[in-house]
Amino acid sequence: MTLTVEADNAAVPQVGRRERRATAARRPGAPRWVIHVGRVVLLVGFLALWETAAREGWVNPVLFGQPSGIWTSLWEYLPSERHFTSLTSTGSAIAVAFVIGSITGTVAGLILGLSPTVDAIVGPFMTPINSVPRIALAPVFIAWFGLTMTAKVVLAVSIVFFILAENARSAVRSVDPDLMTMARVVGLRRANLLLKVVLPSAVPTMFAGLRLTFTYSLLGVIASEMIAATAGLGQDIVLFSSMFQINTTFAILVELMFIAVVITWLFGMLERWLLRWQR
Amino acid sequence: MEREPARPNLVTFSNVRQVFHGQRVRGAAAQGQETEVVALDGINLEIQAGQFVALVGASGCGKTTLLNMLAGLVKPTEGTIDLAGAAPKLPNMDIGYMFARDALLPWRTARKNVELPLEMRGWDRKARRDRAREMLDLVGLKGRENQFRLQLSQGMRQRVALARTLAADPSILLMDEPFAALDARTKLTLQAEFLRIWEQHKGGDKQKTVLFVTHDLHEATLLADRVVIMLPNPGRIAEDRFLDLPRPRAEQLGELQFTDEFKNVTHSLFERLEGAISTPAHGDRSAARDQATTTTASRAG
Repeated sequence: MTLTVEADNAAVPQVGRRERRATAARRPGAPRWVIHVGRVVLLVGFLALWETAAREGWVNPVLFGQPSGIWTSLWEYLPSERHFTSLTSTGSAIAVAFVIGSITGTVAGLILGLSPTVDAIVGPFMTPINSVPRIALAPVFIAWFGLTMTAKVVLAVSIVFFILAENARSAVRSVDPDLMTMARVVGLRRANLLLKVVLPSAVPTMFAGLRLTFTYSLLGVIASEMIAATAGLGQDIVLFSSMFQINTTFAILVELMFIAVVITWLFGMLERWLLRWQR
Repeated sequence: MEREPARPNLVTFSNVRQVFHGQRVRGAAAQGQETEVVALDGINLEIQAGQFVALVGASGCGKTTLLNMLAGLVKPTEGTIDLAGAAPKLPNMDIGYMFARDALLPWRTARKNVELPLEMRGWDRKARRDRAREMLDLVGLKGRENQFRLQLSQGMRQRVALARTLAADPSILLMDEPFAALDARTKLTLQAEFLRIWEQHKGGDKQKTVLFVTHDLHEATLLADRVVIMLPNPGRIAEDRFLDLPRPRAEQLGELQFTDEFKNVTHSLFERLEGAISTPAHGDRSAARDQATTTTASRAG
């Protein structure tokens, strides 16, 4: 009797990546086109109802705005000088907060996850500090740093830091012990162990955190600007809503939504590429 | 004939005892109590270079702990272990360790997984790649080198793990139930492949010493030269028997298991293993234990 390996190999058909994705994407229930049509109907229906309500006087358009007015305001606001200044100010603060918060949070989380001693000392302080409503700190930061970008960034970082620290800590802790044993036997130590096993294991969890991080950077910066700032989309929201220019206020919210969607999509692309081994 | 009795031991366990301390329970700790598990007790075992030794026993009898000790992952509570003239250390580049679960890095392709031990041994990129390809071919995974763990079947994953274990050509192989999670057919195929690789090097410069942990007596008899039966509570050696089944036998594994010779050997080992386990009365059990400690290595056939 000769044992061959061919049969075993042939028994498992080579499943292409695309094929897998298609199988995974198919949920039980209605076919895809029904779902797409459903989404469009929902969106269009909602906007139509809002528009009609405003035009027919069911709601006061000065207070509630209306989709057609938001559209017009959007194209008036976007090209304006004011918008350019605000967007630059808010955008750069978000970017800086995101980068600083993500890096410091991740590094802190890695240290907490890898060193039981540091975790035992610092760990108990994390939850109480993180439970402080950060918006309440905005006036404090503004008092400390004045009407500067620093004040906005510090508020956003104070939110983002804890999300990523907690995330990285649990990611490092949950590395498959089998992989760690294997790695140690094979000879991985210190930097190698961190770079080749611990960090790659943490990537899926870290990405979930990073997505939240962006949203929270946005939230922190806008909130800080709404309380006090020299420029920024948050200031514009306060300004236009206090002047009852509700349509412009909504236009800014639409813009923020658009930015968040684009960034999230970019993250999704990066994540899919980095985690291509998961499919 | 092929084994010279005077050959120096590669591995020597002397009076090894291992105690694991259970998780301290708050209440119990206050009363000064701690759960203690004697994983191994009174282990004396000598293994010569080039032997294929199977460690057989129910779960909880300390088989894996023995392997972990050789790998340097666990230090014995009492007693000494000598591995090629020194205490086991971690990492040991002469050791290849294969686990029951594949322990493949899921973000690496099959080839990059096989390359891992080579990276640690300072091989350059080209040499690593060539070696990894060669090893994957050897375990029947030609053309799958760029696939990730999730794209491979259970059997293929264990093949990759086998290729990784063998890639750096270690002289000592620690195998911890490597084929236990596979279906019967894949298992037989992989056993044959592993045995073929081992038998190729037998007696040569690159001969490999194998410690093969399994709970399957059938598998132990099929592959090994020597079967060590272990019993739990505490983990101890109950029987140490050399087998004289024909070699090379990688190509005949399918038939071998139906020969009278094989059946007789397996049967007598089975009685030793199961007889000792299923004795319920306490008195009988300690009698079995006394017998176990006095059993000396005996050659069958």
